[in-house]
This record gives sequence, C-alpha cells and structure tokens, in this order.
Amino acid sequence: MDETRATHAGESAGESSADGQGCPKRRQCQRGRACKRLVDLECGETGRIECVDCERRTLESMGVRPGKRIEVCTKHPFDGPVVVSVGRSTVSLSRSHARQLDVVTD
Amino acid sequence: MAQSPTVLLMGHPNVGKSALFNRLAGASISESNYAGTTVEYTESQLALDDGTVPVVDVPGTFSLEPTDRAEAVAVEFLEDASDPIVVCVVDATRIERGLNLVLELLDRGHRAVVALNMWDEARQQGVDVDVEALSDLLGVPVVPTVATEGVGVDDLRSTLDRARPSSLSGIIDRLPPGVDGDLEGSVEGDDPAARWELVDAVVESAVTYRETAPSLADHLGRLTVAPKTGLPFAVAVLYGMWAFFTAVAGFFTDGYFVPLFDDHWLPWIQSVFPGEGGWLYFLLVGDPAATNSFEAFGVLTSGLFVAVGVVLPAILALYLVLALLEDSGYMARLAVLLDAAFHRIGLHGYAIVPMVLSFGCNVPGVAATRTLETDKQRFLTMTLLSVFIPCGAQLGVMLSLIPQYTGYILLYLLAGFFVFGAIINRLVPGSSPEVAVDIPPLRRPRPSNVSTKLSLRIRGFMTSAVPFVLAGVGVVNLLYLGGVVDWLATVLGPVLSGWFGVPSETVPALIAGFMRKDLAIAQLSAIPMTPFQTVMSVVMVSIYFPCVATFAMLIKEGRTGGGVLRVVGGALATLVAALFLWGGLLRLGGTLLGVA
Ligand SMILES: Nc1nc2c(ncn2[C@@H]2O[C@H](COP(=O)(O)OP(=O)(O)O)[C@@H](O)[C@H]2O)c(=O)[nH]1
Ligand SMILES: [Mg+2]
Repeated sequence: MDETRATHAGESAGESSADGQGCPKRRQCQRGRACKRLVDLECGETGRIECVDCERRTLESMGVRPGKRIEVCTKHPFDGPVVVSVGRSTVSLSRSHARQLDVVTD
Repeated sequence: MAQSPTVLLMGHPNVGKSALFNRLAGASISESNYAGTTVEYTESQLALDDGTVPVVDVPGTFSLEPTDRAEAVAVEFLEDASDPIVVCVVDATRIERGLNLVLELLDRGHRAVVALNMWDEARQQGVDVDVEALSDLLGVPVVPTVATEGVGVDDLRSTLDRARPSSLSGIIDRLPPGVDGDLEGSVEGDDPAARWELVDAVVESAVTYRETAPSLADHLGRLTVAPKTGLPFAVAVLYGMWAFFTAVAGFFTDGYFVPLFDDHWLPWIQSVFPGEGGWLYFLLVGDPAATNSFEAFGVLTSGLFVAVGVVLPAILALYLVLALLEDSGYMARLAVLLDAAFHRIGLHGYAIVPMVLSFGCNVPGVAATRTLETDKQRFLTMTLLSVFIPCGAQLGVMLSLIPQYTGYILLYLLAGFFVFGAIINRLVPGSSPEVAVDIPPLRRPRPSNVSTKLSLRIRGFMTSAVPFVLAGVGVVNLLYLGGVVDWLATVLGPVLSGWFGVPSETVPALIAGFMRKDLAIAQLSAIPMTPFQTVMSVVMVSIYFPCVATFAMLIKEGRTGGGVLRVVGGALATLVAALFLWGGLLRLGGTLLGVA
C-alpha cells in the first residue's frame, strides 16, 4: 500500500519537471539493483512498472502505468520497438519510450 | 427538450464500436481488427420505442486529450453535441483502461451508459465482472454485450433512457468499506493519477481475474510479432497474398472475360453499331478493325472491358486478402515488424495501414493518414502513397497485360517509396514523434463481416470508379477528335523520347492517367513498344500524377493536414522530381544493362 503511494508521489513530481530527462526517481532508483530502464530488460523478463515519464498521458491511457506488472515479449533489432504485455493488453513501445520507463524486475 | 438527444458511441480504438453501431442502427460500416478503422464519423438513426434518435459512431480515442486527427474528431464531437447520451464502449478484457475513459467522461458531466463489449472473450480469458456491482458503483447502467453476435444489444437499446450523469465523489462514497478508503474527494478535477486510483478501487470491488492458460491465438500472436519467427512469416504472408491475388485475377480475366469480350461482345457491337467512321462510333466503339478489347478503345468496348472484365476481378481478389489482413489483427503486427524500416523515413510502422489500404485504392489510403500524429507525417505518407503505390485497379490491368514484369515494377515503385521518403524526411521540417501502438489479439476473420466489407467496397467501385473509367475513355477520344492529342504528342515528344526513351504515342495514356491509372495502362497496350519501353511507360504512368479521385482527396485532407497549398504543392513537387529522377534512373539502368 505504501509503495503505491510513493509511486504516485514520484509521478506527479515528474509532471512538473517535464524535461524528458528520465524519471525523477531514476537516480534514487538506480541505487537499488532491481530497478532498470525497460529498454535494458531482456526478452521474457518481467517486473513492475515503477515510473513512466514519457508522454505519460498516452501510455497510461493504454494501460501502461505505474504499479502494473509488465513483461517484455520481444525487442526488435535496429532500434526497433519493444513489445510488452501489460495486464491483458499487448503494446508496442518505441525505444525512446522504453528508455523512459523504469521497471523493478522480479 | 425539443431536439432529441444524440447517442454517441465512444471508446478506445478497436473495442467494437462500429460493430455495435451496425447492430444498433442496422447499418453496415467497416469493422476491422486494428486501431484506426474509423477515422470519419458515421451517423444513422436508432429506432427506439418512442421514435428514432440520431446515433453516431465516433472514431476511437484513448483519452479526451487527443493526440491525432482521428481522436480530435472524437473529442470535438463530444464537445459540440448538446447534452448527448454517451454509450461508452469498453473492451471487457481490458476493463481497467476502459473504466479510466468512463470516469473521464463522467467527470465531464456527461450522461452515460457503459457497454461491456467483448463479453465472450472476457469469459474465455477469465475476467469476471460483477455487472450489478459495477453498475451500482458507477451509478450508470452497465450492459454486457457481444457486438459481433448481437448479444445484449436489445438490453443496451432499452437502457439508453436510463443514461445519467454520475459524479466521481459519489462513486467514492459508494465504494465498499475497506477498498482504498483514503480516496475521499481527491479525484475531482483533472488528476489522472487519482482517477487511476479510483479505477483500481472500482476494479477491486467488481472484477475478479481467474488464471487461464494462454490460447493458441495468444501463442501465434506472440510468434508473429517476434522478429525471428515473425519476419519469415511476414514474407510468407505477403508473398502468399500476392500469389493469391495474381492467380485469382488471372483466372477470372483470362479464363472468362477475355473470351467473352474478344469473341462475342467486341465483334457483335462492331457489327451492329451504326455509323462506322462517324464520331459517335469512334467515341463509343473505337477502332472497327480491332480484334482485342484492349485496343479498340471505345467507351463500350475497352471502357467496359477494363472496368468489368479486368479490374473488377482483380480488386475483388485484392479486397478479399486485405479484408483478411484487417480482420485477423495481423496488420498491427506487420506494423511492428516494419517499424524500424519506417523510422528511417520519418514515419513509424503504423504508416503501413494507409499504405496497405492504398493497394486497394489510394483514396481511403489518404484518408487513413488521419491516424498519424503530425502534419509532417501525414504529408509524407499522403504524398508517398499517391505517388508510388499503384492501386488494385492498376495492378489488375498490369497483370493482364504484362504479368511477367508486374512484380518487378511493384518492387521498383516500393523502393522509390523508401528512397524518396528518406529524402523528403530530410527536407520537410516538422517532428516525427515516437508512438506506442496497441496490438489487438489475433482473431479468426468472420465470413459475414468479410462479405459485408467486400460488397461495400465493390459497390463503391461500381458507383464511383466505373463511371470514371467510361468517362475517361470518352474524354481521351474527344481530345483525339479535337486534335489535342496530336498537338500534345508533338510538344511532349522530345521530353518523352529524350529523357524516358518512350514514343510520343504514350501521350493519350498520360492523359487517361489523370482520370484512372488502370485505363492509362490499358491504353499503353495498343502502342507498339519494346518490352523495356513498356515497363518504362508503366512506371511513368504510375508515378506521374494521382488520379482525379486521389487528387481530390489530397485537397480535402490537405485542409486538415497542414494547408491545401502546402500539401498539394509539396505532393506535385515530389511527383515531378520522382518522375524525372526515378524514371530517369530506370532508363539509365536499362541503358547500362543494354535493354533500353
Ligand atoms: N469476440 C468479439 N469480437 C468483437 C466483439 N465486438 C467487436 N469484435 C471484433 O473486434 C474488432 C474491432 O471491432 P470494430 O467494430 O471495428 O471496433 P471499433 O474500432 O471500436 O469500431 C473486429 O474485428 C470485430 O469483429 C465482441 O463482442 N466479441
Ligand atoms: Mg470503428
């Protein structure tokens, strides 16, 4: 319960600092070993979304939002998209989206 | 209220709004398994017990803050309608994100009814929704539906008069104790994070998820989107589609229509039509000595033959494979596989949708660019597809006349698409945002839907394309009679033979190309040329100008896509450059290889 609270606090801070520099929580997040950028996850790895910083409105309305479980289905070569499954939906994210999404891996 | 309220079907893309609309209003508009099928609204009448009310199928939108043209249409609709009844269509398998939009709509004070569509799939996937609890919580009617089967549609119709507004604070008050009790009042206003918390609370008290084993479609869906398995599969699918298209088109044209027209219709009309040598004979029947329906070139001979005998079977076959591509949900997977390639030209994989539709006809292809985000992307796609993508009608005639070269010409044009795409991408200012794309589940195409779609498209072809083909033949013949063709041939001759190496007899084909590309190609068949000249002139006709219908569509879409002058001017500049450079390059290649 406390964790979700923290997530949302971090998130609304992210809104005010909309500078595209990644998640505001990133620095503190990187200290913990388990927290990675989505783009650094391997195919088949799963985790929980910690922070979404890119055009978060669009992604969130598609169901990709903090607190949700995420699985990387495939990563396409040549800087291609990263296909993830979140909840019951499958979403294809561009690499830049995937760089701005932090995930706590299992 | 004097005026009856409008019923708006709103919801995310690909949740079954159009399917529901068809059931509710007895209409038949396109339903497809990818986001962005409906870019234009459709209005119809909905029969209720006490009269009829207007009902509108609104383009899908993920939220009420639009990110592209199609979504903007949806939001404008909502804002312009006076006190509408909003039927919020939710995909029950993804109820959370659907509810987020429902709450957004309720927060704006709209009267709403929730249709929990895809109820069948939700069952299979172990998503159990307590409809009554959900309805009590939300304070608006909730009806489970299976739009494709018509299940729940009557219930939905009869609950429309119970549509009501509902406040978010009211929903919070109704939450059962113990479910996220600390939400109080924090949701009012436009705070998405708080809204999501409310969604989670509602879901916690009305939805349970059961674990289910992934189905065959799930496995296939994953394999087709992974590069290692997906790319070979995509090549096989595309090649299979091409093979089917060529085989079916050839089967009907060569097997039935060529004999019918050449052996029976042509000689008959040549003999019975009065006034051989007169202008009317020339206009309608054409060459009295012609022995083949391509070469006679009268409205009733070549015109009819091209429209009905050649193009109709071709587009029937093409639309059939397109329908399978659309309804299976494979289109979005192709988009993902091709995403990296499209990035090189400033687009993203979803540009495949307008491109694929353009193979049927460029007109809907241009319209489909509304799902792209920026003016730059729309301009790029509209221009490239109207310059480089041959439509099904044109391909049909090519297959009938030069089957051995058609595939190569198509590949050359596709290469042009990417080369010029890369160039325009450098030259045109504007941004190419990254997108997230929703991938629909693979579904088995429903025969009834495929056949509805086919008959819609064929009817469209009969009413809008056939008259153009016939008129095109008439116009070219009139220009002949008026001496315009000869004059143009003299003027353009040096350029045609000097730069492209084709004879000046191709002028009538270029004129016909303004009207219809298929007709232009048919016209080329009557000219004695070397094989290379034929290929060259076919490439020229493909590139040099979009047909009238596409041109009109470019003007129309240009208005919302960055200004008519900019779009049409840019498209014209591109096609002139493409014609001379890409056409010239082909000739150069031909000369180097010694075939030109
Ligand atoms: N299984 C199932 N499929 C559905 C249902 N409703 C729609 N579909 C399919 O979902 C896809 C999207 O439907 P469409 O009406 O085009 O969605 P729209 O984008 O919201 O207008 C189509 O392939 C439909 O056949 C349903 O209730 N159950
Ligand atoms: Mg639709």
